[in-house]
Amino acid sequence: MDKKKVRPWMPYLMVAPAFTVMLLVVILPILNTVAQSFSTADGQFTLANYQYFLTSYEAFESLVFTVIEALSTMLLAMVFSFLLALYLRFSKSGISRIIGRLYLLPRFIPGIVAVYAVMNIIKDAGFINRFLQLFGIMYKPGLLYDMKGIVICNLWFNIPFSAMLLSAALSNVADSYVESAKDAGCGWGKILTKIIWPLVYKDVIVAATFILMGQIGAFTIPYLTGPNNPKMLGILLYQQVNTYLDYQRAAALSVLMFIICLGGAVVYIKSNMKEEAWQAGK
Amino acid sequence: MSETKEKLIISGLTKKFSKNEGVENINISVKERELLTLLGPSGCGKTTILRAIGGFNKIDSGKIILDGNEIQDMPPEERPTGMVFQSYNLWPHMTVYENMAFGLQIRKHSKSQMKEEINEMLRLVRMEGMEKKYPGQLSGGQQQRIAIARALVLKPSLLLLDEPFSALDAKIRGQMREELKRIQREAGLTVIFVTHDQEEAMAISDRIAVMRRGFMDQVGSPEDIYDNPRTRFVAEFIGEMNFLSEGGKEYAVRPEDITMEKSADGDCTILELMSLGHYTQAIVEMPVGGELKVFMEKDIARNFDTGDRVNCIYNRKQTFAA
Repeated sequence: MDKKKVRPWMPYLMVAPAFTVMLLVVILPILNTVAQSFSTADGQFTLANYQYFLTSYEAFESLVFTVIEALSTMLLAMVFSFLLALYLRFSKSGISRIIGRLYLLPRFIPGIVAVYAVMNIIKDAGFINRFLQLFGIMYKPGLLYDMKGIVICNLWFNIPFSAMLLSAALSNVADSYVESAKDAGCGWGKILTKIIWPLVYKDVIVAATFILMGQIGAFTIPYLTGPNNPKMLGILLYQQVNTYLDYQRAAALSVLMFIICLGGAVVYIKSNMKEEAWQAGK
Repeated sequence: MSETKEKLIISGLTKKFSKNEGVENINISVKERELLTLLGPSGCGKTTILRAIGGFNKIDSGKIILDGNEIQDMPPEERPTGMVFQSYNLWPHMTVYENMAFGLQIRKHSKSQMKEEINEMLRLVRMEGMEKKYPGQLSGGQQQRIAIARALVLKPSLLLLDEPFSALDAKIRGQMREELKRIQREAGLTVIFVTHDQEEAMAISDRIAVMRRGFMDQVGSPEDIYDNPRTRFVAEFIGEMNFLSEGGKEYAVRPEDITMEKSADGDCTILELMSLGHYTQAIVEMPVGGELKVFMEKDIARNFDTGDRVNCIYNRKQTFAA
């Protein structure tokens, strides 16, 4: 027994590396950004940085553009990935097995490569255009340098991601849940709404918030595929830093974007913390 | 038993998953109010047959006739069968009441009628007062009772049970067998029960179909199968059995059909005596090599010790087809 010494500092030691990293790269930069956002270039206190974004038409347009883009991406990605996950879970066909192995592939392709690949297909002189020209059809999709381009590229990344989350959730829906519902005389529509949905809807919310959050701060895809105006908030922020070298305004915009994301975080945490009556005591 | 009518007739049922997996040309019928058990080791095809009756396996060929109607082409939701699975039967997000009301709602029963029917079923499975509990708050045995009640509340013509007690511990399993027998008697049910546990099959069945590799080796009453196994597999699978060969012919002797006599020049030796509660088991070494298992009453066992020389008398030998 005496070999088993009490080491009260042990837990702290184990937490220390992670905590130090978090302090250095998350907490301090946030505090620094918040402080900067309330100051002028020579260190005076000011609200002007915030005033600029809250009254600027350009910033408002960017906000609306970003929200619409984020919601569209989220909705489309959720619908497609939920259908895909349902198919992968409940179909036992060979095609389903093949898709089951392939669907995560996009996650392993470097982002920039994928974006250029998608661009090469959808741009006005891209694959779609050239392929149709073989049949004498001159069609310009008009998808690139537009919100549609951003959404399409984001779907490429987000459908596999949320399909993965939803597949994990659906694997908790036992075959016998579905089979006993059928046995009770239930058709597929009701099985989906009364049996499957109540068991997985939390994970649907989680996946949806992840996608939404990602869109608020998205940069690479909108930078390469989006329009010049209006632009996503991420691009606006990039301009404040790299074009106008206005670090204080950039800080204020960062804080504002952080607050928007906080809304998503609240939804995420709430739905994660909320314990259904049926899960109590498990 | 008086002559009762045939409830279910299966003829020429074939369902193949691959060349060696599945069942072929199954013919069997079940009488009204009968409990038939499909018994066999895992992979013998017993669950395949049960799921084919319930509609969860599409069959390759054959007919399934329930109450005079061919049901083999109907989807499960249209078949008048009720199924209870091995585990994960109840929908975890619904209370006991909601679980039981689900099928009734689909059938558009009125609220008051529903309540009455559910209460009656809960009484039958002795789970009154549990309506508001969630499955996660019930023990395994309680969950299976509710699963049976949920199937029964829809008044199925035939109840299908797929190893419903195999996830429960031994003691509860014993209780559930008795419960099932009582419920079947009280509700006048026709039941097909699937299990790999021969003891369970012996205890609850009116008839047992012993299955091996997609075929039925023997169908008969528990006594019939125990006393007159038709194949070596059945002899080996049901209960304990000693296999002996004499004059090139193999026969079988149940451990309880052997009497031991103490004798200084006996040709067998007791290797081991083991008390198994209400009886004692002896392992005896035979002169020709090999060991015999002998069961005897406790009082008789007191006369023997390990190492004793004994003679073994076979009171009843059984022969069977290879």
